[in-house]
Amino acid sequence: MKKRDRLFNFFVALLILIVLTSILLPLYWTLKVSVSPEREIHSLPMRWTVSALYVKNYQEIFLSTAKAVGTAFTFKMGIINSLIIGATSTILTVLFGSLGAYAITRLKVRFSQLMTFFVLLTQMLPPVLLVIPLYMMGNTLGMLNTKRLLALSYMALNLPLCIWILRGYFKTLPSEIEDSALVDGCGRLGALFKIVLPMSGPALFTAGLFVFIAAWNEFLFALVFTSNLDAKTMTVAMAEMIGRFRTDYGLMATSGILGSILPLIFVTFFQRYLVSGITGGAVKQ
Amino acid sequence: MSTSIPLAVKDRRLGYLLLAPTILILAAVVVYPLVYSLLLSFHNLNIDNPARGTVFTGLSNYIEVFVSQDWWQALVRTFYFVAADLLIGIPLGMGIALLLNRDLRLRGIVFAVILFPYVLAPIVNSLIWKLIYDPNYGLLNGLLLRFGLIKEYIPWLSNPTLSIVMLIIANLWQGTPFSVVLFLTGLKSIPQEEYEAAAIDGASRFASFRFITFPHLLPIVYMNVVMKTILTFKLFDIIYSLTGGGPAGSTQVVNMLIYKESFEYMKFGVAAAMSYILLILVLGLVVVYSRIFREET
Repeated sequence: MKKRDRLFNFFVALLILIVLTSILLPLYWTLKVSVSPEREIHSLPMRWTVSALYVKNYQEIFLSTAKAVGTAFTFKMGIINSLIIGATSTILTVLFGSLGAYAITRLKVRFSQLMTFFVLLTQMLPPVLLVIPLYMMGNTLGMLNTKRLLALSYMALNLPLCIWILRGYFKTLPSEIEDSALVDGCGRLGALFKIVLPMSGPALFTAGLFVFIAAWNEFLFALVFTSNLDAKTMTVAMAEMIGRFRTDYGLMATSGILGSILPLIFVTFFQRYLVSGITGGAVKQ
Repeated sequence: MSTSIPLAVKDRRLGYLLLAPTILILAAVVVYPLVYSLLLSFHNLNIDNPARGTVFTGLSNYIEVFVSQDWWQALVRTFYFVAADLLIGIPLGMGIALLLNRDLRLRGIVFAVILFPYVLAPIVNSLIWKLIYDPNYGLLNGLLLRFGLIKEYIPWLSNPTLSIVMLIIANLWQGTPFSVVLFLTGLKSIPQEEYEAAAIDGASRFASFRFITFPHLLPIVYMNVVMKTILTFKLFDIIYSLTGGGPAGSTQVVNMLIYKESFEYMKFGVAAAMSYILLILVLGLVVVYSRIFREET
């Protein structure tokens, strides 16, 4: 019996190792290509390692300037635009989402069911359905190629889910503390900003993580709404590189690594919040 | 008697004020476009012939979609992706969750690694697989050649039969971690006493899986089926960036077709009709699933 158990454990360990390898190998390969000199990318047969760390691709992106607008500079601007759009939409979504969630949980607003409908709708809708009319609206209003239009779109797509996550959390907070604050003459808004929000750190953080990652990773809206460096995002710049007939693989791999750093940091350090968001968000269905 | 407004009414007024930004944003970016799209699907904008302007064309856009061979082919290809997600992705996700559902050393790091593909942008997913599938310098050909499994390089993405399989693999790589998380949460909620009782009765590992674990996981399977279907019907990014729907249209899924219809051929009316049909299809599937699930339990 004991021997059988050991054999079983061995197989489990082996299988876990296979799973981890199949996830890490593609990432390792991308990293390896990004730090390989060109002749080693193209060397045959394939090599597992690099002879020396080669950081020219990274330098090319970081040091690129507007003087020579090329792939590297486009990507650098894409990263900057994505950061601005991501940060703006995250902060505003969490702010408006908190206000909305508070209204729904504490202020007896008849909006709860409609909100549930919007959560389902924004999750289920094929994004192409919104992209066509928004493109036309953006065109009429002269908002194409602006960061505003993208930030606004990401806010709309993520507000319902954000309110959902926050509502679930607000409900677990005891309303007695708030009530005593109200009696003490602290208005509803005071109670929200001085009592409810400071107690909701984890939920606000979870909601924020989700909105930021969604905005950072989004592609279709960014592809349709942007065509120049004013608002072109990281993902659009990356797709242009992937689609080139003669791709500079080193530079492309480098952009992939740079575009992954933030999400990978988030998942490594804040895994708990992400998982609670996924399952909390999934239970709604 | 106080003439001031009752507290409940005051609260409600404040409530609507607090919801105002959300309502405005949703109205502008979700509701209005939905209505606009619906109207668009009954019109022809005549972009190629501006002199004629926008004309109401009734159901003709919808008819054009239903007689279009491209549409049906794209729909079938989309179903291939959905089928792979449901028949391979979900069992795989459950399997990995079962593997990980024990006291592991380095548990935190292992779980983070499992989630890596989930948090990456789909475009990054494309980029990674482009580097793997590249015919000359890619990892896949390199590995297969090294182990002597192939004699010459295979152009994975430019072969019409292979390319869809390759995209399905890339899609599974990114999509499966989500299932793993759902199943792990489900596994955690199973009461341990049931396993202890089964162990006392001398139940085998397989028996306790069959009669305890699996029944508890059924709702999670259902949740997976619903979410995976919804997500896979949105599939666009990796198709656009890896094959653009080619070669010879062999990987053209519905979203790719709708994108081309609107932003390449400028047939916005037809594209709007397609998107509405797609939405109704997804809604219909979710309703069918919930019926089946309710009958099963």
